[in-house]
Amino acid sequence: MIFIVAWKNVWRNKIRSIVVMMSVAVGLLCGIFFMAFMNGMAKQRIDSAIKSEVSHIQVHSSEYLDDEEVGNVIPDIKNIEQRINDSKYVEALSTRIIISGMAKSARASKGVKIVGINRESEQKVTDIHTKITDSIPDYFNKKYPVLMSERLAKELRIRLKQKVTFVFQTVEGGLTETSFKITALYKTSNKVFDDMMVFVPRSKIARFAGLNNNQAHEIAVLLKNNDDLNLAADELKSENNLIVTRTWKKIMPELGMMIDMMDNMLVIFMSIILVALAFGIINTMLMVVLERSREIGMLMAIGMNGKRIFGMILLETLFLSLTGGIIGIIAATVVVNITSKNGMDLSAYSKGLEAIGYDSLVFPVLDISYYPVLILMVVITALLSSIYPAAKALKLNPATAMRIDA
Amino acid sequence: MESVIKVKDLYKIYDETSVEVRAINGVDIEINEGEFTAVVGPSGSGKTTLLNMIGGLDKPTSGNIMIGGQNLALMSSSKLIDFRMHNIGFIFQAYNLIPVLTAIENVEFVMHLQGISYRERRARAKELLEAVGLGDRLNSRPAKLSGGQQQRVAVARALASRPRFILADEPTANLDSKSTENLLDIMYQLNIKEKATFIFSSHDQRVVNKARRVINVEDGKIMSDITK
Repeated sequence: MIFIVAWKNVWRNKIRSIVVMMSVAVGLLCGIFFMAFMNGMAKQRIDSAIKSEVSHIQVHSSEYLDDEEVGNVIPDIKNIEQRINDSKYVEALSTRIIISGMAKSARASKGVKIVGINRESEQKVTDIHTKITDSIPDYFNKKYPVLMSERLAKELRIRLKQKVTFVFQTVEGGLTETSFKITALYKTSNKVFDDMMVFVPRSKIARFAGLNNNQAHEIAVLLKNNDDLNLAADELKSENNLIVTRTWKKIMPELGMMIDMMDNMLVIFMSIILVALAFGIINTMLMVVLERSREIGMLMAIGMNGKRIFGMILLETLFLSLTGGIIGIIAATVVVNITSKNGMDLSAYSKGLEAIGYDSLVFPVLDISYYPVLILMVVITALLSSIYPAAKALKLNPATAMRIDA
Repeated sequence: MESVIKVKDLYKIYDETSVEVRAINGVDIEINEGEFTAVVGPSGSGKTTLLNMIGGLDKPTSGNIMIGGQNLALMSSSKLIDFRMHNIGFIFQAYNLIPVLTAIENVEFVMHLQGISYRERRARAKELLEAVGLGDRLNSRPAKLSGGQQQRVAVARALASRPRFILADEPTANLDSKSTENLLDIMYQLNIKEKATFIFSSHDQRVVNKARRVINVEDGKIMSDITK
């Protein structure tokens, strides 16, 4: 019966209750949407970093990590490739030669990283082939093809089908100069990546650099599932100290940190919203206790004890907050679902976002497991907010309370 | 006849300001089972304070209030609440019904607090509301009832818990003369039928006329105590 009285009491002052419910709902909606937005942005950044840049795991020689010298290669690459391919966690791998050099056109020059790849295996590991904006047919099957970003081509002031010369060091230590023809242009959302990376056939660059087919600088490994990252890294770890196996979290520690930071930020952000709501709820419930002092006094007079009065105020607060909370969560689910399907177009800020490696079309996403946690947080907030008003109600003296407005 | 209430040497002194106010200044009363007693006196005479202390709503400065062998003056607040629920029925001047509950739910409420089953309390609530002439308004909320009807619901509520006695503080103060007559008749009949002990505070002559015992209080003291 107290349950029913509490529920009916919530609706005594409809407008006030609706305002409080709406403030809980809007607060939660904003909080959840912001969480989903930030989460989606971080996820996209990580996905794009894995797909376009680092893959899940990379293997290098330890010397190469100290000094990206052409000669610091992974020895006996075929054997290592075989071992990686045998792992149950691995989806695909791509073996690369990476040489730092200079790209020159007739009118400009720029420092670049020349990445020698095998097109078939690279396609299975990264999605760079999907970022191509302009190309000639069968672009990687030419004599000396190079895949370059639009940005770099613009800086070098050259176009598709024109030649670019690369100057780099060979294994012997001498400088070599060789020309490639731009057969395709690409564009990713990462400005830094676009400025640096050019892709050429591995066999061709190997020959110019003086490397053989059993030598490379990097093996990029794509896993079937990111959750197996640590297990796979352990399995692929080489007993040879000269070979270093690193996960994307190690290669790009800022991304790993970003996930941790994002989780903490979400907790802090939600806490701020809930604390603000708590004050709103406390204020409303104090008003309720004040307005109903006489009635509470009467309830005490006819035999409603402190525990029950406390329970009634607590239930009223809970109903008020939970109704708002549920409305907010439903609204947020709808909004997140709609925006996660269509994406949010932030192209107005695309330049700034690209500079830090983010896509301008953001797909907000929030794991379903967050929702029960949020409901629990609302319940806890409501319970904590009800303590002070309920304690105030308990302090009432029935004889004094009933004299109010009598 | 067995006495329900024994008040001995009761004082209530307020000294919130520098001026000491003796609201109750040495009162001794004994009230027996089945009485229909009116405590009368002008405003500020101390009758409400006396009733509040007999009802365990207020603590005396000194003196004893013995009800069923228990001294109210020595009980803790939580014990008093429990004691009130089982022993005392209240009727207030401003009716003080729970506005969100219907008439029958209001009467049931105190029985719910006592832990009486739904079926049993519903049947008693219905029976009491019929006894006060509101058998056709069981599901009306207080806002839909007139002042007289609300006070009749309050009478039914006060009787619901089968208390030792009923305290009514100026029950007719907000009622017109017809409703007052009606309410007094109902209470008088219930006093006989339910053997309920009624103690009123009032300065309404009609209540005084109906009462079988009239205790006159002035300046916190009993000036006269007449049994008709």
